[in-house]
Amino acid sequence: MQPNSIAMIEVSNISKKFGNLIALQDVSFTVNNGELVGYVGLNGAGKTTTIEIIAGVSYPNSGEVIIDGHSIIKEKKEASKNVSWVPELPIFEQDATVLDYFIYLAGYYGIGKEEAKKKAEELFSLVGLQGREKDKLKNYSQGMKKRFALAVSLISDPNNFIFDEVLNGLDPQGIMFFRDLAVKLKKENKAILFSSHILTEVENIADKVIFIHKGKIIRQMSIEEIKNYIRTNIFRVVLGRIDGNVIKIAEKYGNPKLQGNIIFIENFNGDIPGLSSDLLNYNIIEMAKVEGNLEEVFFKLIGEQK
Amino acid sequence: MKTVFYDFKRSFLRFSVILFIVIFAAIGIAVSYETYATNVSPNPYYFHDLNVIGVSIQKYNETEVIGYVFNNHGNPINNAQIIANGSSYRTNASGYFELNLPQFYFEPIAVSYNNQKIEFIPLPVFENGSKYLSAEGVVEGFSYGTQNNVQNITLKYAFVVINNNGKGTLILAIDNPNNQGVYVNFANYSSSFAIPNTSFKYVGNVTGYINFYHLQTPSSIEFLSVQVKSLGPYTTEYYPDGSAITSLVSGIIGVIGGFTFIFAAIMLYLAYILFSKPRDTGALKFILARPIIRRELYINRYLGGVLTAILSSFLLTFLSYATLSILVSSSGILLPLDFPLILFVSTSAALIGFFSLVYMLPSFIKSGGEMLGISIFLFLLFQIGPTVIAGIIAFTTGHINEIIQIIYGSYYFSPLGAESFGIYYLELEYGTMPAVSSVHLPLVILSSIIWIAIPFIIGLIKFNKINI
Repeated sequence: MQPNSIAMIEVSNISKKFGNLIALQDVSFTVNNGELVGYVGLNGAGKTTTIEIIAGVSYPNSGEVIIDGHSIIKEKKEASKNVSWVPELPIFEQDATVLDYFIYLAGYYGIGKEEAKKKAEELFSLVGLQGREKDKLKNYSQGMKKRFALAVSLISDPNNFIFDEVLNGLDPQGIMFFRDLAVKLKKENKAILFSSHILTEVENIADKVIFIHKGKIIRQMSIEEIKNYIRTNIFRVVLGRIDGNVIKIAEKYGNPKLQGNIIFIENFNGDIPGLSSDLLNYNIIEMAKVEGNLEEVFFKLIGEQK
Repeated sequence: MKTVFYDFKRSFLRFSVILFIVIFAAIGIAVSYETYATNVSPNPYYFHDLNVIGVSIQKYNETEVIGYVFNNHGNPINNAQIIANGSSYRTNASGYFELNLPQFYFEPIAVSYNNQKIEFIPLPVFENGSKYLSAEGVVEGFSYGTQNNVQNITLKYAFVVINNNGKGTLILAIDNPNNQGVYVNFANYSSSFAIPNTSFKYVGNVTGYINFYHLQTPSSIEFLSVQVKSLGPYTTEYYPDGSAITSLVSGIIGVIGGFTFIFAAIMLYLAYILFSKPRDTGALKFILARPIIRRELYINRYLGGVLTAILSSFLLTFLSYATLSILVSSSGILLPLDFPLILFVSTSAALIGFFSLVYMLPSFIKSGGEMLGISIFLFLLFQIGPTVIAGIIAFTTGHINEIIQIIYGSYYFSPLGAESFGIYYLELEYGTMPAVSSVHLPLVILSSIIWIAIPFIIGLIKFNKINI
């Protein structure tokens, strides 16, 4: 936990079974105020199950989730006021009119019809749905449905947000919108749990990443830790011409491996001028240090688990 | 907006619901009018608020006619016009008239009041009453008296009975008043015609040509026997609200029966839309992410369906009732309010009972398609099952004669049984002889409550535990 930060979403030792299948096992993590936490895992790893428990729509078999000091299990109503969930799929009653359904859902927050209408106007404008309030939900596109869910999530202006694979199925503009909004909310000191399989997006915006695999949290790392973790000492050279001597030349600088016309030199000694001079006759097209990414980290962590 | 009203609005303001309500309301109004056209228009005087009873006494050279004109509540009508033999007469403040007509005058005499007109022929005793009177009769017999050594004296009398919520009046016109004792007896409709003399109640003596007696009148259809000593008793049917009501309510009962049959299917559909489909698609999860607990969500949506059943039943029964009441308003008598009330309560109970049952299913079955399939099976089972099962039981046990009784017995085991029991009670009160000898009201109430409450509670408990 960062100094002076307060845990707004606190997940403690939750486990969940579906029949004989153990979906979650002893999952614990926290999301603090002003923190954007990526929640990363393969399909079926348990991301959505965790998120539905945090959102209060599913019960854990054991464990506890505390939202702003309130148990989502024992004080569901109070806890739910402080957390909003944007689900992966548009799970609404699709035959309802957008504004009507918004007013209905606002009713659960104790917001009257007139106030709800005003809120709808404000939030639909914010998420880019203005002018489409009278449509039926079933006539909305995938992206519009996500924007509607987002507008609903903002009804009570909560401190905590859970975005479950919200970038799925969105066009680049939609992805940018959600990404920017997540960052904006973070700046407003909200706590955000952001699950996604588009790892580059998580990498770009998250302060911390939680890796889940087969129902277990396998690692929680800050972005700094990840950057250190993925720092490599591999040098890559793309050549225009290859012959039998090229490996021998490269061996002076590390442990080379040839893939097509690319040489990867592990444990590179750092002598870039020497290497470029030696390979001058091979028509160097490109040479650079290899950078790791979140995806590599993830698969490396999975590999460690095995 | 309160969320429960939104759920109600979403269930009630649905095309299928509105369509069926409009269709049945139109049918209800049409049948009410048809009932009016069939029963009232051809015989309007049956439904007037104008009645007459009296005697004609043949004197030496004239016929003296003494009559009493009264409304359907038995109250005298002042200033009613009587036209006989080309002359016009008026009733006095007490509703009486007296005519002196030529000897053996048997031409129709008209009685008019408030644009209503009835006629009578001045026979020795006469009465012409509307179908709102509870009972009426004209009797001609021999009195086997021994007084003054006179035997086999002919005795004629006419009577009507008016029921005002248990405080009845017997109006008796008799051609030979002689201080005779007057007795009445009410007997259960299903009991034998053989009525022991000991059960007759003395109500007074004959003191004049037209006599009034107070009675305690029952609230259900019974046999009424009137006896003027020393004639034998005269037995007729007694309808607490008049036989007019019977003919008027029967058509509407048919419409409501059809409504309950069709609307049970609508309730099934509502359970699917309100609960099963949202569970299947995950929409319940989205709602549950709001500050609401599962119990509230379950109850909210349930109430949405229940209110739709109640409002639909109410609209239909009371619309039919209002239409018919307006059509027959000239009779001065309101149709009894318990007629739409019984229909409304029994229809609502049946629809809510069936709704509770099918609403319970999504707590056990996630798939909307499966829920619909099972619901349709239950619909058919409870709509036609009791008759089929009762038929099989009656046939296999050799109790064919008791099949109706067995069918009614099976209604206790059907959530839709309440509607049949409602019709049973209406038939008992306004109709003909009921098809079964006994239906136990506590069991009817218990059965309805169980069918509503138990599936609701089971569904709620299960819903609180499931993975949605």
